[in-house]
Order: sequence, then C-alpha cells, then structure tokens
Amino acid sequence: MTDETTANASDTEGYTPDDDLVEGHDYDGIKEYDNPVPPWLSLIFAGTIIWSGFYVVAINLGYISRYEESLDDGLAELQQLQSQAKEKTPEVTQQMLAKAADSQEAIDAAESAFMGNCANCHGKQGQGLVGPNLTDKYWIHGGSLKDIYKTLQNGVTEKGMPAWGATFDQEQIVNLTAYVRSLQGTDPSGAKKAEGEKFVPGNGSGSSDG
Amino acid sequence: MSASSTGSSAATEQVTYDDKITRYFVLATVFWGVVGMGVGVLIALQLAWWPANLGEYFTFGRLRPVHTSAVIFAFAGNAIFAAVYYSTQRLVKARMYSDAMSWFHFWGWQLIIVATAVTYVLGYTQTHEYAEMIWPIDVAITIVWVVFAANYFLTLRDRREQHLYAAIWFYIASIITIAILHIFNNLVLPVNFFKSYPLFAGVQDALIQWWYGHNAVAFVLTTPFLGLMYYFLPKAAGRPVYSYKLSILHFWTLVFIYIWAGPHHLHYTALPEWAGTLGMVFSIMLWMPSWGGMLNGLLTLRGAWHKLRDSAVLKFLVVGVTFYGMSTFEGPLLSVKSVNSLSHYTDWTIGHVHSGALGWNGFMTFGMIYWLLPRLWNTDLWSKRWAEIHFWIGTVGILLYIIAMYSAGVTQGLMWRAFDETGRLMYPDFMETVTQILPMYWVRLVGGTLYLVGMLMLAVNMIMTIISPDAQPEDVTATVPKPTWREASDTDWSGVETYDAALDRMSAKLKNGWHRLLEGWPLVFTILTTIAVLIGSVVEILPSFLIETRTPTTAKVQPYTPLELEGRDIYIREGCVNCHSQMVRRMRSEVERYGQYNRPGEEIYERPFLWGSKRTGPDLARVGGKYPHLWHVRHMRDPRLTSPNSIMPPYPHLEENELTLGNVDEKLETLAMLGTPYSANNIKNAQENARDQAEKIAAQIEESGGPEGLEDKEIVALIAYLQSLGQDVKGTDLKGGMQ
Repeated sequence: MTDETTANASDTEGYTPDDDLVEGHDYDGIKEYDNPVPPWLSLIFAGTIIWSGFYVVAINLGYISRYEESLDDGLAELQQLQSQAKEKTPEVTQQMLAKAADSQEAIDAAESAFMGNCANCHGKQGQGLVGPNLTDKYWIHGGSLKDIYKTLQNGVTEKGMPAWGATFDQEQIVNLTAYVRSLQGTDPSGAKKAEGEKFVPGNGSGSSDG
Repeated sequence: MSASSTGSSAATEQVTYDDKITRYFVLATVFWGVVGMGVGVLIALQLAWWPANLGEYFTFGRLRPVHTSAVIFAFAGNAIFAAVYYSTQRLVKARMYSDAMSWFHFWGWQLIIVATAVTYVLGYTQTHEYAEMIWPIDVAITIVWVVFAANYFLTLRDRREQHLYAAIWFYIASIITIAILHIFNNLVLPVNFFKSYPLFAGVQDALIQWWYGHNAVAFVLTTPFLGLMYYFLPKAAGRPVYSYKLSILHFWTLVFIYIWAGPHHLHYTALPEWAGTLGMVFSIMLWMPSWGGMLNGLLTLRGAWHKLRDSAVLKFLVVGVTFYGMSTFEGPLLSVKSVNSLSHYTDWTIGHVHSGALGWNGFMTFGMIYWLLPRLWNTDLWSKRWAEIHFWIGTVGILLYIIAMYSAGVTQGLMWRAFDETGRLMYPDFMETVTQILPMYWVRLVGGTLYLVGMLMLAVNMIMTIISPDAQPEDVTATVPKPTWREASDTDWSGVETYDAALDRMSAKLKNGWHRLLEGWPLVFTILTTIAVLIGSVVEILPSFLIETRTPTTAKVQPYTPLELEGRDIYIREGCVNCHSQMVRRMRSEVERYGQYNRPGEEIYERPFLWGSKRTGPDLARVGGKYPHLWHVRHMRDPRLTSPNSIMPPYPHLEENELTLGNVDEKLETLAMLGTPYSANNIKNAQENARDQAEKIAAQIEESGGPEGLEDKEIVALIAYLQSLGQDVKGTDLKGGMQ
C-alpha cells in the first residue's frame, strides 16, 4: 500500500521544513522531527506551576478568601442593602391597603402576578386547589387586609405558602392584597370547602377592618 | 533500531494485519454514532418542547444517560478501538496476539452497549454520571476490558518494532487508567441483580465519581484520541511529526497532571475546599500539556496546509485538533473557582463538553473514518463531495450548538446570582430563568440536528463505499524486517568484564536518551504510567477517607425511613438527578435562593450521592416541607398545573404504579452492612413501617382535597422522600448551629 508511506515526492506545493529528523524513528512511515519544545510553551507551563504554588500558599496564609469568608462578606453586603431598603420603605399602612383595595387599577396591576404565582395553588378564580379557597368569608390566617398582606409577605411556610416578600416588592404585595380581597364573594364553580374562621370586612371601602 | 536494522535488509518476513476487526469497529462506530446523536437530538427537543417526553420510558431523565453513554462508549469507544487495532498492528509490525480475543472484545462491547441502553430506559441505573450501568454490566465491562488489555499487551510483547511510537504511549495510558477508574467508581454492594448501593457515601462518593468523571474525559475522550491523532494526522498529511521532544513532554505531564483535576467539578460544594483548590491549580497546570498535543498536531501540517483544500480528511483532523485546543483552554478557565461559580450547573458546561465532543472527538473520528474507508475496503470513497458537505454542515452545527449553550449558560448563571438594589434576588422565580433561555434550546436543537445530518451523510457514504462492486475488503499483508534487535540480549553480560566496558555498554544504551530506552520496554513504560496516574489519585482521595471518621455527624441527620428510601430509589430510577441538583453551594445567591448550604455531615447516608451536575430545574436539597403533599401530586401529574411554563416531563404513572415494597428490608439490610445505622428491628419492620407512613401521607392528601387511595402507589414514596429533603437542618442557622 504505497499511499501509506510518508511524504509525497511529487508534492510541489507548500514546502518541506528542513528541520532535522530524529534518526531511526520510522513507524509505518511516520517520521519525527528533532525540534525542541517551543520556548513559549515551556515558559507558560512554568508560569502556571509557579502561579499554582503561589495560590496554594496564599490561600493557606489567608491572602485569598475561602468559601466561608466570601460567603460571610457577601451576605453581610446583602444584609446592609436589605436594611437600607427597609429604612427607605415606609411600613405598610392601613390607608395604603385600603386605597389599593378601592382601586381597580391596583387590582388589575396584580392580575398577572396572581395568575403566574398564586393560581397554581389557589385556582385561577381563587376557588382553592392545593391552597384554600380565597373567595369565601372563611380565613385560616385572618381576613383583614393587614392579615392578607402579612400572609402574602411572610408566607406560612410550614403549610406550603411561600413568603412572597422575597419575590415581590411592597407595592406589588399591596396590589396582590387588593386582588385577593377583590375575589371575595365571587362564588366560582367548584369552590373548595370553607376552612378557618369567618371574617366580615367592614362596609364597602374596607377602611374599617383590621 | 538503527544499529539492528542496518545490514539486515534481507532478513524480512510477512505479516498479515487483522483489518477485519477494524472494519467491524468502524461499522459499529458509525451505527452507534447515528443512534447516540439521534437520541441527543431527541433529548434536545425534549428540553425545548416538553411534549417530546414520550410516556414512562422515554423521558429526558432516562434518555440523557442513553445519549451520553452511546456517544462516549459506543461512538467514541468503537472509534478508539478501530484506531487502536488499525494503527497498533502497523506501528509494531505485528498482527493482534489473538483474533479470538479481538472478536470477544468486539461482540462483548456491543452487547454491553445494548444492555446499557435497555436498562437505562427501564430505569435501572447507578446514577454516577457516565457510569450509570448497573453492577452486572460493570462486571461485563471489566471482563471485556481485561481481555482487550491482555490482547493488546501480548501484541506489544510480540512486536517486531523495537520501540513504541507516541500513539502507543497514549493507548497504554488509556487502557490502564480506564481500568482503574472503572473499578473504583463502581464498587457497590448489590441488593439484587438490578439494584446496589455504593461502598462510599456522600462527599466520598462525590469525590470518587468526579475523579472518575473527569478522567473519563481524560482517558476515554482525550488520550486515545491523541494516540489516534499521532497516527492518522501525519499519515493523512504525509508529513513527519513536528517534535518528538514535545511528544515526550506533553505525554508525561498530561497523564500525571490530568488525574488531579477532578475536584474542580465540586467547587463550593460540601467537598472540603482544599481538594477543590488542588483540582483547580492542577487544571491550570494542565493547560500547556494539553496544548502540547494540539501544537504537535497543527505544526505537523507545516508546509502541507494547501492539502486541506482537497482533503476532507485533513479538514476534519485540523478542525478537530483546533477544537481540542479550544476546549483545553476553556477547561482550565472553568476550573477557576470564581468562573466555576457562574458556569457550574448551567448550559455553559454543556457547551464546553460539546465543543470537545462534537469538535474534537467527533471530527477526529470522522477524519479517521474517511481516511480508513478506501483503505479498508480497497476502493474509492463513494463521494468526496459528500464528505466535504459533511465537514461544512458539521462545523456550522457545532458553532450553532456551542454559541447557543454559551449564551444560555452565561445568561442563566447571571440571572441566578443577580441581586437588586434592595438586596433581594432579582429573579427569585426559577422559571423566569428557564423561559429566558428557551429560545437558545431551539438554536441548540438546530445545531445538533445539522451535526446529525452530517453523521447520516457519513453513514450513507460508508454504505455506498462498502457495497461498491470494486470494494475488496481484504487483509493487508506487509513485508517487514525481522526483529533482529531481539537477538541482542539485555541480560547477557558475558564479555563485559571491566568496569569501563560496562560503562560503555550502559552509555551506548542511553545514547538516544532515557526515554528511548523506555520506549523499548513496554512493561516498564506501563508501570511508570500507572504510577503517574496513581499519585494524584491517592493524594486526593485518601485524605477524605481518613477524615470521615472525624467528621462530626450533624446531630439531627437521620437515615431515610423505609418509605423515603423507596422514594429515593424512584427518584433515581426516573433520572431526576439529570435535571435537579441537591447541593446548595457555599455562595450567597444559593443560600438566598434555596436555604442553608449543604455540609459534609448531612451527606453521610447518601448512597449514591445525588448532587447532580446540571440545574435544568431548581435545586431540591431544601425542598422538604416547602409544598404540601397535594402540590407534589399535582406537580408530578403535570408540572404545568403547579408551575406554569415548566419544561419538566409529566409523571402520571407514579399515581398508577403499584408501590412495591417487596425488597425494602433487603435494601435496609444492605445499607446496614455499609454502615447506615438501621437496627435489626428497623429491618424486620421495614415493610410495615413503610405501609404506615404511606397511609399517613395518602390520608393527608385525601384530607386536603386530593385523590383517594394513593397509599399503595409510587407517588407517596416519592413524596415521602422529597418532603424529607433538608428536614435534618431545619431550625439550624447557616453555620449549622441552633437558631
């Protein structure tokens, strides 16, 4: 099989490097040049070895922070941001909640958030699935606007209600509170049986509840 | 060999190479290439469009290991064997030692592949990535591998060429190291024919697995392909290899350093940080040894670049080597802790492995096969044009694939860690980070499909070449010099009587350097290679076993109840680990999103560990108690009922399949033998205990308005398991102390 032999003599294009071949190296026609290892390769290789040595020493002497240190620093930074944000945000008030509950705009603003996050457990009409019915007068964790807000904000994690305060900001939770309140008395079909205590909100505006 | 061959040109003999075995391995390579890549395209579709998850058996979780095993062990594996059998016989001028052993190897390997694919689809898996095969298959692999190795080393013993060429160094390193990796990563105690538990648990199990996983990449997908390159590239280019000295340097540094790099797969996890640090610095040091191989490949083409114009073979090989260079630069980059904190669990990793797999392994294989086809069947390739088109379509496919994955990976990684100015996660809803990258999953599907089309073109080209009337599949007989070098006995020191004469003889032997001497001693060469790979293994793995006895077990960490254990085995069966990690890393974005990071003490009963390597869905280490039981029932029935836009497959069969508790006591017994503190009573009452717990959960589901009569269905076991996750650390703060 002549085509298995090496360099083609009639090959006129290109060039054949005139490097020295290693004497006696011929494996099934494959020969090898006696070229040195490219110096830049050796240099970078040595560089990576030296760097590795430095890294190992530095991390052991504490010049490079370890996982726990980085985590502590990172969490401290977050806590600072969170407390700053908390200072800037006024406590939610009854007025804010009542105003939102009266505002169709606020209710509409929360619709997509409800459908995307709440409907999975409470149903699209709030009729209750995994989670309780939101349309009747019975509430497990309180039916006042403030209670609804708190339940949304802090969740009831042992029962599977997430703390949405981690996901939504104050305004969004206020709007969601308004949305949930707006479901009252809608009486959808297939509603889940009542759970919890009966709660009757004040007349109309809701300003009197809580 | 210079001394022995001069003046003995008359002393020749005939040798007939066994090319039939190579032909079969080439056919198998192409067949499994089509299958493995076909499954790859299917699972890429499943990620982009969940309804492509077909029923109980063909979900992503079960098919992903079919894809990885098929392309790694069936496609690349058979390609390696084709290269090894073809080139070794010619490089040592000897036929394989035993045809029977060669054929045992061939058919044994194909049967193993079929058994592997069937068992994965049926849900029998050990979950260790790229080593999911159940223990009987592991035993079969060991037997076939030993036969292959024996056949190989006996061929080297009977060689006519005195010195071993670089390609063979790489083959030797591969054969030895794969055997070591395979055995240690599959040490399990069987419960029965289909089920076993690993000897190591938690952190140790993870370390062993990624020592294996990383070095499977090294010694299945790198070193054998470097051997392949050292034979087929200079052959196809008709040029001598650029530098023998570089071959020596990069071979030894590669095999020594590679083995240390595994822990870089476990940065920020419960693995002690020092092991990760070692994994990282050795990965960095691995950069130049890897590039040594790329350079020796590319520089061999000096003066021959014009040949690429007309040669699809050279195009494939050159682009293959270039992708090798790319991914071996990217590898060290990804091993840096800070980079890894972003890339890990994302599609960046998927992009990285596919640039290596499609670019390096795939293209090197294609180049080799296009070079081999006309030689093995003694006829022209059916269509050079089709080979050219295959090259271009494949290249475009790879680029689309990896660009899509880099983009998806970086995007999702950044979203996971983004905080807003109020110090809260910017994307607390995991789903948001999934829907964001879905378009990229479609682009990946297109790229993968193009690559598969190229593979199919190769299959057609191969079939047409073989069925051509001119095809003559005959074995090649070559006239080779007799191995006169054997006559000069190494041990015969008669006549060497003075100290100076002995010195002369020694220096004559070392005239061409110590390495040349080593190339004439296959056994010594093999022993040294083994030592090189064992050093890193022992230094990294041994301390973690010594530490085990000192690791304080978190007081609240309890072994799984029998029902939870059954649920865990269902989780394993369904391949949940392929998309869900159970490892909250020591990073603020993880702690904020999921809860406390995982500590080694929590992992002591985890057999096997289920940390995962990719988060297509969210981490589950802290999911216990997060949702009511009924939520899980609905979620498994159809994930979109509870999580709109979810891409998870539905698992309605879990509500229908009978919960079999027949061997739960044997499972407990096996685990007790391994050290899990189950008492004799626990084992005796296991079934009863499981029934009780199942009834309780089923009652709670019914009470909360869910379906009735689930107490004897698989879903309750899975729920019991999921609800147990993270419960052991409830009520403790981040540092593991009581709040």
